[in-house]
Amino acid sequence: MSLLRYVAVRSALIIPTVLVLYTVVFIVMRVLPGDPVRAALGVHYIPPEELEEIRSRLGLDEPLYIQYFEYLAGILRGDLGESLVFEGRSVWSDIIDRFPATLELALAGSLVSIAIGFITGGLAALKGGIVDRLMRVYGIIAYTLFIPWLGLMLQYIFSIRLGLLPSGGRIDPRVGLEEVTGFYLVDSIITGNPHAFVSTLEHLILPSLTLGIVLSGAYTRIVRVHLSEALRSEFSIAYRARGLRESAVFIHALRNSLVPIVTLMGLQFALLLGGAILTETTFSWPGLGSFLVERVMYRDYTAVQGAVVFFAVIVSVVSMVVDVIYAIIDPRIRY
Amino acid sequence: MGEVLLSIRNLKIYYYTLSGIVRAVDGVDLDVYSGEWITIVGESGSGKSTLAMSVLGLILPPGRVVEGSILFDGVDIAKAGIEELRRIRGRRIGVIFQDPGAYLDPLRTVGSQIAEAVIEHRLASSWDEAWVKAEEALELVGVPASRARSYPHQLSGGQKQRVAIAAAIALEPELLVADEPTTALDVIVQAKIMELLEDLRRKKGLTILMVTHDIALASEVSDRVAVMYAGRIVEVGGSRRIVESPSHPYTRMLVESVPDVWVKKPVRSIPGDPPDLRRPPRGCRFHPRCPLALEECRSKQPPRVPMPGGGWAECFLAGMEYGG
Repeated sequence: MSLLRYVAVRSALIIPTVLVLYTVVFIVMRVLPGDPVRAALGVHYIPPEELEEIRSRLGLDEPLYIQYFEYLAGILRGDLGESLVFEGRSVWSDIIDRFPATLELALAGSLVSIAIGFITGGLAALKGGIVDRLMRVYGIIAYTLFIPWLGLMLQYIFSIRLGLLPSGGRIDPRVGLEEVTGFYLVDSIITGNPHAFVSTLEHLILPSLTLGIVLSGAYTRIVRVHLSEALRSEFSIAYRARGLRESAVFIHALRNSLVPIVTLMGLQFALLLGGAILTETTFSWPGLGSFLVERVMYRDYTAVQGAVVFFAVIVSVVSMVVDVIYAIIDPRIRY
Repeated sequence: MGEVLLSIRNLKIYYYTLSGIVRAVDGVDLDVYSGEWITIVGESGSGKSTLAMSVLGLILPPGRVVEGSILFDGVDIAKAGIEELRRIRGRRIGVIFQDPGAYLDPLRTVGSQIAEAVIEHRLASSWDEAWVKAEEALELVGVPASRARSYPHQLSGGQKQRVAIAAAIALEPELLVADEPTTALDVIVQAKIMELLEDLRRKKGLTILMVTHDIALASEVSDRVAVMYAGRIVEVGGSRRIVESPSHPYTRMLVESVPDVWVKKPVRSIPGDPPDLRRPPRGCRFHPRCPLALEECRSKQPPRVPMPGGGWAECFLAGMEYGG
């Protein structure tokens, strides 16, 4: 039952995390030049009385601390407010609308990064020598790549030069897809729409490859280090000394190296969402990342605050889940 | 003494490191007889653990067997292929290590680690049967069978070493290599583990090849003792003879360096350090630290002088009367 207590404590810790992030975002948004009214109305001349009227209707004439606490009270009630720019649009429903696209991209990207990471890191640990060196170089290069640059390169090669894959969007607009869950791969299977499935997959390849390659560098290095350490460890020697096959020794070593690798998966999740934002803008992917960027441009305070709070909660929950997974892999860890 | 079970001839194992070639084992000859308990004694860095691991074909790069043979029942372990080695490892030659905790997989129950090897060597046809064998092996070494479901971190140091012994015994090997099996344990537990090994030797007809730095322990538990210095065995003999009338000056100094609980006497250490095995001294390797070194010790390899009652010592002065 101590696991339950642990989950309760970790859940409670989400509150200060959210509070700090909300405060930072609140301040940063107000420090940025411009305000939602001007950003929405553009460069046209607006009579000051009219400007004042809109501002007071949106609550922007209130003192800052009132705005701060009013929105905070909303967060605690689970109400992320309404957009300041697109009047009448609930921030929460916008987020829910956009989030499946981000999650689909993030999951595909982490799948790619984990696959590449295990293959490259595993080869490095098993083969050693020149293979090891090559894989390490790959790890460093992948880790330091800038997502928009890699995205542009892949677009240039596969979309423009080779014409194999689309350069942006989630699905060919000519293919009709009935949305059920918002995850296009899932929806196309549920509704039995093979054209939509293929089109979604085609659109998913380059963005998830971009995100996956950049995030794989860290996996390459950590898989290599921990797997080769486990393969050389005393218990692996003991397994070999008992006459086990190298394949069995490998499986046990892999399982032992999984504990630090799962830690990295938890840490990577925050990077994954950050990377998703850059990937989404590069590939005009209609997810939460491009939503956030778009609303920052509009100085849509409530939408940005809401999206950041949402990200914070998701990242906290995922890192908690990862900690619970440790306990399943490693019997030494008990909460 | 029984027949020869393991025969090591002119064995040379070098480590090819960036800072030079380390001659960890440099011309070792040793016969291990069936049913005996022989112990190799030496300081750290004398090559004794390398020698022990070579018996299992477990010399890891950058180490390599450069010369010589390790004959076990007609198979030369130094040249055997991986499949041939796998059939011998564990099944015919078992091993226990110095730090019993590190040599157990922390993520698996001890029972499944034992049972897995039992299955691998076809000593059981099903997992359940293998599990029963694992429990029997645990009982045999004095660990309750219920402990099969424990993870290594739930056991004490002494229990872990017993589990390691059980893992070895479960495969019914003829030879057990014990590499400093009690160095990490306290003396009370050490005594119990030694008793257990002696008990198993009698019950199972096991042959034991132990490695330790502790000459007092070695002479107490084993039939024969081999003293190793700087990659070579410098003296072999019955354990009584070795401690009562050591022939090699190094053996003598080792024996004298043992502290005595009953008699308060200054502990005599051996002056100097073991040689750098990348550049071992010419002639007798012990001569820089030897109080009796002669001129010829500096240039010539001393002969192997047979000793009464079996065994030999590699020293120009062996067999002669000299003051110590």
